[in-house]
Amino acid sequence: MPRRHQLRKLLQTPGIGAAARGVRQRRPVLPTGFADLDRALAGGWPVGALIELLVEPYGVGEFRLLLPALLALDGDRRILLVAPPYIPYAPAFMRHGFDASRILVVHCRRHDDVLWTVEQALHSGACAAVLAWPGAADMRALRRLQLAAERSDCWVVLFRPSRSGRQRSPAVLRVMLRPGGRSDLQVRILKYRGGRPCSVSVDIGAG
Amino acid sequence: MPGGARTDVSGHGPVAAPTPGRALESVWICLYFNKIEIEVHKFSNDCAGALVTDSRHAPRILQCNEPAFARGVRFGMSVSAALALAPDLTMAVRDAALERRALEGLATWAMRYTPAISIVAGNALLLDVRASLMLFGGLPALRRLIVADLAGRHYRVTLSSAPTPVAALWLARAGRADPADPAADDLHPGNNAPPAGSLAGRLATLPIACFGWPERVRRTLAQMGVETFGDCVRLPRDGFARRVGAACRQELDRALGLQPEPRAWYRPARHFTATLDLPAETADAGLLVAATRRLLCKLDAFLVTHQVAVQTLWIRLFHLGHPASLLRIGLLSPVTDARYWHELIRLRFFHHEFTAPVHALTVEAHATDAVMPDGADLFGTRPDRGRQELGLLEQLCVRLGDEAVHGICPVPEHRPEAAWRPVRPADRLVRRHRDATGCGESGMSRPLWMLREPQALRIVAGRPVFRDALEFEAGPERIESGWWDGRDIRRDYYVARNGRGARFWVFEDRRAAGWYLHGLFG
Repeated sequence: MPRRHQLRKLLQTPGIGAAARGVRQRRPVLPTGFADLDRALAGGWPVGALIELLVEPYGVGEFRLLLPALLALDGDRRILLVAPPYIPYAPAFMRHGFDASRILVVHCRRHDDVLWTVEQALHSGACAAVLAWPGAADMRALRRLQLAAERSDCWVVLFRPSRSGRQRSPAVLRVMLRPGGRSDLQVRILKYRGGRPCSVSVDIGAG
Repeated sequence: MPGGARTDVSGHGPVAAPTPGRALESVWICLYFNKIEIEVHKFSNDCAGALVTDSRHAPRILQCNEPAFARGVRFGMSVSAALALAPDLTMAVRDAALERRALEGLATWAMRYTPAISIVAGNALLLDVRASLMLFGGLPALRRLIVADLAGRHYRVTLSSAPTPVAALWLARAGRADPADPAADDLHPGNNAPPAGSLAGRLATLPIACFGWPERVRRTLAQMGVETFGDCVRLPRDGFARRVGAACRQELDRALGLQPEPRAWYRPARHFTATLDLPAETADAGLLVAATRRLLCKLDAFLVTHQVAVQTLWIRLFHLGHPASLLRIGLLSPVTDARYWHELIRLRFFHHEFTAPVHALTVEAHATDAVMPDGADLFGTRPDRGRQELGLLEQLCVRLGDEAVHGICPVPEHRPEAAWRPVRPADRLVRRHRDATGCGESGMSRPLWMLREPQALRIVAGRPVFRDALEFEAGPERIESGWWDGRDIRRDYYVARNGRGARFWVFEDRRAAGWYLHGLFG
């Protein structure tokens, strides 16, 4: 009995993690809006942690996967889209019940500007969510972002091409998206700190 | 003077002077710089210096500093005599403009204590500090603070405080610095003497000389045997007014606070300019940032003392042999804290390509209207969201350019490419575009992502192809609009899907045949 007590104390020490329930419960999450995915992610998208969505090509439904969570973001803080490959189309966002005035688009000419913008946004505390399309990013840059994300209360999602799945990454959650059936999306969790890799099929509906 | 006002003003009468300690009592501090005429010339402390009259022949000594005095230089002495006593005497002619500038500088400095300051008679400042007492912890603490602050400046000052401005000025001129000093009031003990602590009591023994009245008046009073303030107020009002002048009698009333005295406040310049000459030419951004920071410290002092905010900063970089370059750093809203600029200037300098080495730089700013300090909650624990957001936007704009950051706003319009527009990022803070009225009322879905320009699609076997063969899921939706501005369209839109699961918004142009990709459903 005392030994178990010691173990519990040890697990509560910051810096020590375990693939156990306790660790998962402490991390703030944002419900995904899809029951299966919530279960796989132990509650929802982690907040204050770096998330990588590996998508190829863009347009398979990756944004509609995030939309319920984006809609559920409370408060008045900004949603920052950093270097999106296309124009976020305001009428469509409004049609999904989304307050388009919360969206802020940042265009960057260089890769390092994208990462810099994300980092500044995380430090500022002014954004509820930061969604970025950084293209190339090395381990060091990603680690900086992960550290910045940990200190923020921001939902951070990086969209990256599927081939970067082979790269190592400090992201807390890495998800590979593949189109499934008609309105299905195959969500493969490649890595989830404190969780298990698994695969979920999500019906994102017709956009 | 109306007869009803004929009252004995001796403290116990019906119009007793205001007693200290009342809640709404005015408190004035007078800073009297009695040597400012000579001090503005900044003679050094160990060499003899003197002010002389500017008459062409036989100039005379007006004032001298302590080293000169120690060597026997005196007021009214001819310059040749003074030079015989002190051969190294530095002389200057009195410069009224210089004195005025110095006094305005002091008034601007004093604005850190109160915004209500008036400049009197070229050598004194009157500060209405009633509203500032709570902030600075009471009058004694404020006096100590002002004296300590002034110690770093090269002006000798007499500081006095009183409930009326005239009284404060006169007390300062008389050198009665300490209001709590009862010694001066014990000189005229008598049955009807006002209590020592009261204003009338403190003023009673002031000599007429410190009222600044004309020579004629002073002589008249001296002949009447009237030497002090107490003597003046003991005289019958109308007789005094007739012989000496109603204005003087009125001034006595003002000193006692029996008559109101509106004052013109000093208004400082609204424009800030500061220049720094660099010790050596440099094009190193780090050194220039450090140099700019020194100027920003001055800007900070300017903002605090003037109680104003600044929205745009101009930095002028001077090069040898090249025209000066001008950098503009604009904020989305005015700020009152100069520290706010540090990071923005660093960003700007590190991304600026210097044409030539810089040998001097100037920071200029024009103050906008005074604004309330940045909002924070009572305990300063909750961060100010609006400020955070502006801070981020400004950082992004400075590094990436003003056009790189924008919000989006729907526009009631049928043509898809015209149904939205970018908006300035800060606009949301003023007005929210929550209403989605009129945009895309049709039942057809709209893609979340649009291409900047429709992209032409290849046609294979009569069907459009984008990476894969496209398969239509919904459509067509005819959009035909825009004849009025020359950009009219006639298109059939379809929702299409390729073999890899991506869904697109494509259209067939009915005017010039062809298939185009216009959006992604993402």
